[in-house]
Amino acid sequence: MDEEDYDVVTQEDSWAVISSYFEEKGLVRQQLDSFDEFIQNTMQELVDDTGAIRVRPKMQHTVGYDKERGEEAANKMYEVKFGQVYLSKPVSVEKDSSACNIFPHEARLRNLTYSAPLYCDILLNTYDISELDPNREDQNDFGEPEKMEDCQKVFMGYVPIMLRSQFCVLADKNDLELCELGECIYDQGGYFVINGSEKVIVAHERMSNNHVYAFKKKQPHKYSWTVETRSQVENSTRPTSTLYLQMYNKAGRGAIEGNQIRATMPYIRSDIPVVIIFRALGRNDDRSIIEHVVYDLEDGEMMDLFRPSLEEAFVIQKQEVALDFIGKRGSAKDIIAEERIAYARDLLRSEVLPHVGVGERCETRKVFFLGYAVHKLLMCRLGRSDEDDRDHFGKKRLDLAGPLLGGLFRTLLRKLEKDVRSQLQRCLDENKYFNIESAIRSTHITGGLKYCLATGNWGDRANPSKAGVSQVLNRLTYASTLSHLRRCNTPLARSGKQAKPRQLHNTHWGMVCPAETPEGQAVGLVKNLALMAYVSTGSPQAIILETLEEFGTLNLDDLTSPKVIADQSTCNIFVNGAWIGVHEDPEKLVNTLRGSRRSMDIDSEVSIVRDIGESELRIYTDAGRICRPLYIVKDGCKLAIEKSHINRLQLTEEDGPENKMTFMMLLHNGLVEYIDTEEEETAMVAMDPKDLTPGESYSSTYTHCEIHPSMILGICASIIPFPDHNQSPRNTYQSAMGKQAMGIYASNFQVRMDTMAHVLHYPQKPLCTTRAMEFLHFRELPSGVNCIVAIMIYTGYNQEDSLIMNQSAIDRGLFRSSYFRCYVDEEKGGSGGSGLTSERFERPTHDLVDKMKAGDYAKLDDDGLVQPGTRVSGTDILIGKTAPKEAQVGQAMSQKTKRDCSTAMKSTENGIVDQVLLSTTSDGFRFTKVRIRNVRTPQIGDKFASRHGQKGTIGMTYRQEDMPFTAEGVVPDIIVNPHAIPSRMTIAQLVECLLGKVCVFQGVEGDATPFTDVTVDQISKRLHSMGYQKEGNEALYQGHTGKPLCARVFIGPTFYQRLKHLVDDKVHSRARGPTAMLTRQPLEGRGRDGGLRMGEMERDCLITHGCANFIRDRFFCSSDMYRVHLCEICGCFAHQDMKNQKFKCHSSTCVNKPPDICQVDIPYAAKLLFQELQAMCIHPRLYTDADRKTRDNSF
Amino acid sequence: MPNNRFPKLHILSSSPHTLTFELSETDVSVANTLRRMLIADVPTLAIDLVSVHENTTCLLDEYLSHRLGMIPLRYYDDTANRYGDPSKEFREPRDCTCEDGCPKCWVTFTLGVQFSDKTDNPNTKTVSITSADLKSSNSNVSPASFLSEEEEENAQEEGISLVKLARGQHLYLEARARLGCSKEHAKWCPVAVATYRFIPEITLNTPALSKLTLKQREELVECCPDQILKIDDVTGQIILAEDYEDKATFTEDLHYLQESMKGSPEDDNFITVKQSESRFVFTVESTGCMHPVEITRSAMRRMEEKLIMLKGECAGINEGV
Repeated sequence: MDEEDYDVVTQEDSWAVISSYFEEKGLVRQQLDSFDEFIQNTMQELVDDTGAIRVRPKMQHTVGYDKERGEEAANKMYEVKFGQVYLSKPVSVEKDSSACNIFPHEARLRNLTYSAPLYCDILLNTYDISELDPNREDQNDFGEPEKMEDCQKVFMGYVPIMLRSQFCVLADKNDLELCELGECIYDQGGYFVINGSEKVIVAHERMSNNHVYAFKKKQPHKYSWTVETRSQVENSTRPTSTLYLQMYNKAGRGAIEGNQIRATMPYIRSDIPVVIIFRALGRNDDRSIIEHVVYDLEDGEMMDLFRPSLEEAFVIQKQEVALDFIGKRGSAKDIIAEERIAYARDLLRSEVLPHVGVGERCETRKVFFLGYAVHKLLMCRLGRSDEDDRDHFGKKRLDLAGPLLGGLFRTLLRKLEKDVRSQLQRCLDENKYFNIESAIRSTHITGGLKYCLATGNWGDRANPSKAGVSQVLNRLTYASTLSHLRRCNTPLARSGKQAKPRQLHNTHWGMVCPAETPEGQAVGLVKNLALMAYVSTGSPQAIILETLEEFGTLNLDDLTSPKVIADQSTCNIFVNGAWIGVHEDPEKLVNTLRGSRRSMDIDSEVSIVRDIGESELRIYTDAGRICRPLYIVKDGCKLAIEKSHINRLQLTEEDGPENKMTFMMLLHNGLVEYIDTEEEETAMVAMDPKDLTPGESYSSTYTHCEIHPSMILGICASIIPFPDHNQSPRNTYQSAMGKQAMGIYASNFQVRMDTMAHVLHYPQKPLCTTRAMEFLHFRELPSGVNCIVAIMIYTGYNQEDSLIMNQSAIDRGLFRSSYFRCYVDEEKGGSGGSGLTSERFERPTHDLVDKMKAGDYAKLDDDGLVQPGTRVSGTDILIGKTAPKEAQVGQAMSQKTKRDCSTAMKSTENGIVDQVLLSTTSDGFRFTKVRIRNVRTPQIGDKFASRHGQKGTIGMTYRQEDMPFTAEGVVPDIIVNPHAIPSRMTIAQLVECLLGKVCVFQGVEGDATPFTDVTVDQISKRLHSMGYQKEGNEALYQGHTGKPLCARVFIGPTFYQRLKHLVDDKVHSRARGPTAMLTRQPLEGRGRDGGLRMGEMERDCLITHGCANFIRDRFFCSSDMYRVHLCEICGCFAHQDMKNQKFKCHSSTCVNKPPDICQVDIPYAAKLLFQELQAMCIHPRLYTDADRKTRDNSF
Repeated sequence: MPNNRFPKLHILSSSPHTLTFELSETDVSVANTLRRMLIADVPTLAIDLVSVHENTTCLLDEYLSHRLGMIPLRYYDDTANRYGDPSKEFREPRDCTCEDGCPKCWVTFTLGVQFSDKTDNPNTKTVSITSADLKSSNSNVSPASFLSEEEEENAQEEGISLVKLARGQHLYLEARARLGCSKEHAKWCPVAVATYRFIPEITLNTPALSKLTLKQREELVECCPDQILKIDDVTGQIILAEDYEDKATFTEDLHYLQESMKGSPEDDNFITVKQSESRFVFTVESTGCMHPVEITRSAMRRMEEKLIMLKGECAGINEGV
């Protein structure tokens, strides 16, 4: 390698860049950034948006009301203004109202909420308005306040804090400090602790606002094309108001010919011809309208297409008439023309395209924008531009924790404001002292936020807008936790069989993992972010507007004639979807903007899209765009980043912080930049720095280069070795299965009290690793074991995806794991929480306690809790608790004054009491958690999987001497059936095994990163040179006989995972057992010791066998057989006195007749049905003999 | 009967932990029986019952107990003056005449370690508890930790490490070891490796080989990863490597390559590699609980016992007829 080559940045060097990215950002940065943005900016903005609450006392007409004083008071204006908000450190308040700082671990253990108090400065002004001029210029100006009261830091409520966000106490703690606080050192935060449970806010995908979408209608349809714009003002509470434009196929009422364009506006009942809207906006003459729509008046084709629309509106030529036309179709009825016109004007101002402007002089801009939309429609109809792609990822936005919490906080603030207003009014009316601190009820914010985060129902308690927004953080294995924090949901009906939104789109490249998505109903709707995907947090657009102004953008308001737009060289400039102006030299402007973004003069997450085809320049600064970093390529063939930068990235802290380069500096120096999905469409991206070599490159106009192609994968898919050698669904299966693998889910698992947890005893880091694993901490917290796997047929006990496992290896600890389960209970307080009415932890005794359970109470100590180290099984009682019995009317007072409400073990489980925690809840009640542990050794039926979607259960275990062996004495741990391979095409598993074998002999880690230069041939050669057969085959000897096996066997180390599905948690059978109370049929489910259902299909099988008596046994005798006595005369159930063997029918028809009773067996359900029918006055009668003479047929 | 049945055993090499010997003039069944006996039927000592009194370490009681069970225990045979077969001294509890445990069937170990016992250095963060901390009730039974003195010198710890203690942690337990065999649990397995390989029988078809070009011959030599063949520097002919008997791994590559070189499929093979049916090279590596020679002897003793038992049974059958 000559010196020049050494200076070239290679794909290998990219890992330094990737490392620096993750060092700075971690894997849940989107969550943290989004939450920080909410706390730091959004919250204050929302409070500022809450205008002043102004209240005037009203005259009262009650007895004893001091009228004079009332009149005097009515001249006063009271005002409440919210000011600066403050958030302090997370705090928990105990029952005795002592507050202390709280750490997340304590919140988790004690079922508390990790939240911080929010304070706000509030200004109380009183004005005298008796002297004020009612027709003054500014209605909001009341002059100098008569009295001012400044309340500092009024408590507003508790805001849950995201772990590891800037306001979390863990924000900048080092590993040692984290350990001492009981935290996992690898935990990255990004979730909340609500009532002790960890909650993630899953990102929600939505369509972006303010964009003009054109869709072709599937014919036959009334419309040929439609254009829609969902318009929303930045940071506004109001829902989006959508303007639809439709082009009709046929001429409708009032139109002479087809192709007319009409608009649908909010609150207007019928379609309005679009030209009328132009007129209503003040463009009376046709010429002006045409200029705004067609731009180029030479374009005859388009003029022709627009003519029907103009002709349709021919009758209406004046603005007032047009407004009246719209007003008439509005929802306001029975009003005079003037009011109608005012109503329409108001509607146009605030409901039509509000993102363009809602102010006084926004008509010009609205005309331009409307013209643009109509233009787009015409262009589409003429076939000059294409339909918009609904699934284009560039037009999607992700709502993360910040925006979602922001929306919630806004509604809660409105509620609070309303509440304060009504209280203030009441105080004033009743002439009471108004205390702001007591008027602000903290429950609005505290309760509202907590409720939504705890249940996942977002929005109002009564009618939540979304469900499943916040979910319980998955803690099965570390990778599953990370993956959950990067999940993204599409709120679309799961049942819809629409395939399009579920499919992988080109624009998902690098943003969304192509493999990781669930199977079944949610396929493709639930997505996972790719490793380097970054979600924008939003930046103010004002800076962009200033910059544009500075560099010669012609403002739309100042545009003399729309004709310039038609000019090919000019470019329309949009900022966040709103049309700002035009520019004469877009090339130069884009270069300037890009330059200032690369030097961070404008925010690095701003996207600059130059669409040459449409001659548009679109700039986005909003939140929720998905971006990813790319190398910048200069002059189409040279990376901006150089070897020297790479070397500086690789320096450590000791080499001096001034020399060390960070990812931020890469951005700052214009070496790397964030490109969002829409901008990516205008970039030419090279896959590999190698592709840029002059002469060899495919293109000479590269603008960017991928940092590494393996970064397109998400968390779970990054664990798969050589995923590029697998059939794609296998990677999807593994992505789902990796989440069920046992491992070490957090380094603090010993101090955590999770309801259920599996921990693998001897986890190993895999022999074949991917480079991305470094960032996932898969080496530190692995979830599997490197097993020696032979792919062969042996004894036949590994058919149909079962495995043979080495029992000796299991004895030595292979795949051993611990299972932890936590039982929780608390002494719930009665009214007032006094000792008399509340529950108590104690050992219940039979003489005092009623309704005791069947379990063993002997294992309880005097305090009502089991001792750590006790072996518990079956239905043993773990937590003894009694509640006082309420005295019941009409019941003799018994000795038993208490009722048992103890907690028993799950009947199917057993284990040893590991830990008992006794604490208090936030209400001051005693509270306990008991953790049971149990060691699970692998056994027949347990589930295992390789990292390639190859799962199987143990079909047999053999001791070492019975397993096949090699001449070196190597015995496989697992024997997999070769039939698992060909149809599934998981070549990567074979490659992993081969590379693993090489690594074992060389004592190195193998690199199994996808899209690198490693080939199977290279691995084979290395193996051959070490004296082993190059394909990894070996001669094996039969364990039982010792004879050589005739075929050579593929054997080597493969990383296997133990999945959480263990037979011990599933085995179930029952002969007799509990039945349901109502139907007397056997219960369902293992937990209730239920029966195993013999369903319809099983019944069908039995029918084919003709075994009628067996069917009767299964469906009747073993289920709900019941014996009834019938009166043969009237067919009713007879009264039965089993003790005295006397049977009689009491119905009026039979009373006087000699009894004629028979006994029949019917299902209890049938008996129940008859009685229910009787309750509805339908009387079924049962006879055993159709011709019987005694039968009474009189009714 | 094709094979001679006069088994001969010839020791090739012997060290404190490994033994290799050649078993010849017998057939696979005998060799395999010996292998299986070595793995599964040799009685050894291992910890089987643990009472944990106090455990404040980071590992669970069950976890520690399992680790304790895996420690190989060796028995010093006073009469033979070496580490020998513990079945001479001990009995399995179920075969023992005692009611509930006696020194003949159980060996008790105690372990009581506190962090402060191990170090006075205030900067030490963790100390290790190893098998060396186990105190045996029988002076002749001790945990085996190192196979050689050299290994002991190079080791970082003084025994097999069980768990690390942090400041303030302690561990008190009592562990009881008994005789058992590996059929019950792999912890009683005395061997790390017990295997045999077949001696290769290679025939070179020299006339056919000499017809091949040098390049083809080189290819044939190259394709064997085990390097059993080489090219004679002088004649350029394929000859066998000196130590081919030790190296052969019986890959099929050679077979497939020569198939492709043959003019017609019926042609004679150039080289045939067969596995001998009467010569086996055994490798026995001890876990440290016994000398490998003792293990082999013990295995053979067990085999003899079983054969005697079988003989007795067979005699019974004859009488019955």
